Amino acid sequence: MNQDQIKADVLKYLKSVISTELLPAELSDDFPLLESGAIDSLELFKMIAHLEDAFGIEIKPEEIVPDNFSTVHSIIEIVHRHLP
Amino acid sequence: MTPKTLHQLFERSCDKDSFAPALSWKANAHSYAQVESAANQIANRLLREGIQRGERIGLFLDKSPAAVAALYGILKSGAAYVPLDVRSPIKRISHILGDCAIRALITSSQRLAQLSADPAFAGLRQASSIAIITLDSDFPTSAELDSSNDRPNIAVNENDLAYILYTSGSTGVPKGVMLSHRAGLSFVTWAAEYFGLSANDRVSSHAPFHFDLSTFDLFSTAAAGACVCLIPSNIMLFPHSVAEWMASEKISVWYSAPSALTQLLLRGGLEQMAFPNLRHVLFAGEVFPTKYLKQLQALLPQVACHNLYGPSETNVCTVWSVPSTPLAGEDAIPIGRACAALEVMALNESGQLAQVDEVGELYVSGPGLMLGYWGQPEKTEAVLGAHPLRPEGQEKAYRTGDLVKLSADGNYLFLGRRDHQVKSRGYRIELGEVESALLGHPAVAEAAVLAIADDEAGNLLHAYVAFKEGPLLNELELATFCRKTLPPYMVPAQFHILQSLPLNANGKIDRARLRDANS
Repeated sequence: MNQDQIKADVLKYLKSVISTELLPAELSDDFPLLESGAIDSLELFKMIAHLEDAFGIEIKPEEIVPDNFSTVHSIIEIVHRHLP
Repeated sequence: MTPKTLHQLFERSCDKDSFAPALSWKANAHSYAQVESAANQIANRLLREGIQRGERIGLFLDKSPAAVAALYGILKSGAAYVPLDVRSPIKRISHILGDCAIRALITSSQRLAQLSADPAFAGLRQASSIAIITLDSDFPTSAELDSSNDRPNIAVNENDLAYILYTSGSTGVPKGVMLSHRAGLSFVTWAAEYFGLSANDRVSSHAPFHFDLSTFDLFSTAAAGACVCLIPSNIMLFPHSVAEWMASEKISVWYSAPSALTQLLLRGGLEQMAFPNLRHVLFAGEVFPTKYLKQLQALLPQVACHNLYGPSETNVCTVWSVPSTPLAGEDAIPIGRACAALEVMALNESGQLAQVDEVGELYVSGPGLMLGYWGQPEKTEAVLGAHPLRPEGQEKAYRTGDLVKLSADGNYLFLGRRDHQVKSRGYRIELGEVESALLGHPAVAEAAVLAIADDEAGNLLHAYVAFKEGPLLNELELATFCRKTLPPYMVPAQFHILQSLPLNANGKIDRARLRDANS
């Protein structure tokens, strides 16, 4: 699976759970997801569960840190790192 | 001199050791003298704007040293602070600012720009003169404030209003709980003593300032001359980062809602870390599942755990300190017994003191009681009345709406609510407020909201909605609509779209059937 496929899934997921008012229409890779207040703690862990299911990966607790989830780009990176 | 106001607690510690660290933020310490100087400048600036004793001042700032200095500055000017949730929709913020007729607002340029986009806020500014002070640095600069740092000499009475906390209201609009300096002092000075806080302590500040847990973090810490450590908002969602922050900040006293502790236990990686400085873990706001408390005890055997209970209207009114021997069984933990010079009592349905093991409603009396709900005398009167056991006297008692049972060992057990108020992630939510938000949508015909028990969050809100004829909305659209008027913690986690809602024999929505359908 390449980065574009991961990105398509991540964007589709984010747009299905986060209100359109909190996200720009064209969600750029470096949009600050956390600073914007678009995600709260329940949503963050729902998203992590989704990523683990969708890609068959396991994200360790110590990897659930702001740097890995602050933007679409950082989410793609962490998923990509875990793929075989 | 015994402090008569919340800010005098801070000033007394500042006079004792002005170089001691008062707060820690992103690995920087700010001394009592530095925070005092910034707070004095803010107070003098407010006084120059013509602020009078007892007036309300909005605090719409992200948690930062600037917000702490602003809060003390407001109190020093003789006014009361109204802390606002930066994550709430601006409509709700404008409503609160208008409701309590604020005279000044302390905010940042970015937050002010957000607020100014709301026509209701623009209208408010036109209709009344609101002084605006913007603080854009983490720590206020003299250039931003342009006023003297002398301690202002304003007479403030212990019965003066100190702060207003807005909580969910059952009829659809939030209500403002008014607390005096005296009410605040009664809890925070008791807590500083009970937990043996000293100048060496480092206390976490997890709760936002609009949540009553923050009064302990700020004022009990100040009373002891200790250091309050503010958790940066960018790591709040990440239990592992919060745990690392706790260790690196050498936190000795932790206070949060149970759900934050559950997150730390499940996802914080605590078993791989050491917390040699941690002495006390305090939790309040909802029931902490016993199985998690046992895990916490097993992981941190040297730490004393305490269950605190109390609505915003009385602040903390009971405490149960968990025995140091490991808990047996899975029974719910008690809320304990009265604290902080308060009297608590359970009355049965005939208004008599409930016997041991008999269900009763909890009443609270003493110096911690609220002054009332801002601008709502009828609502105040409905819950704040004559003392039920000594009705002829002047004392008042607050009727909590919480059902409890007194055990033979003298501890109270919390059983539930008399009404539709629930707790989720420590926040108190009136289901009626969420329902009226949903009914505010023109396509919605019927709506009911239930709290479904959840191990991690305490409760999750489930909404059941039926539409009128016409365009149907999907779940995301309903959630988006709710986010326009409700703070994030009140937006239902799940929506169930039904043809119509089931009714019981009385023609009311059958909540029991909805609940059954869910399990």
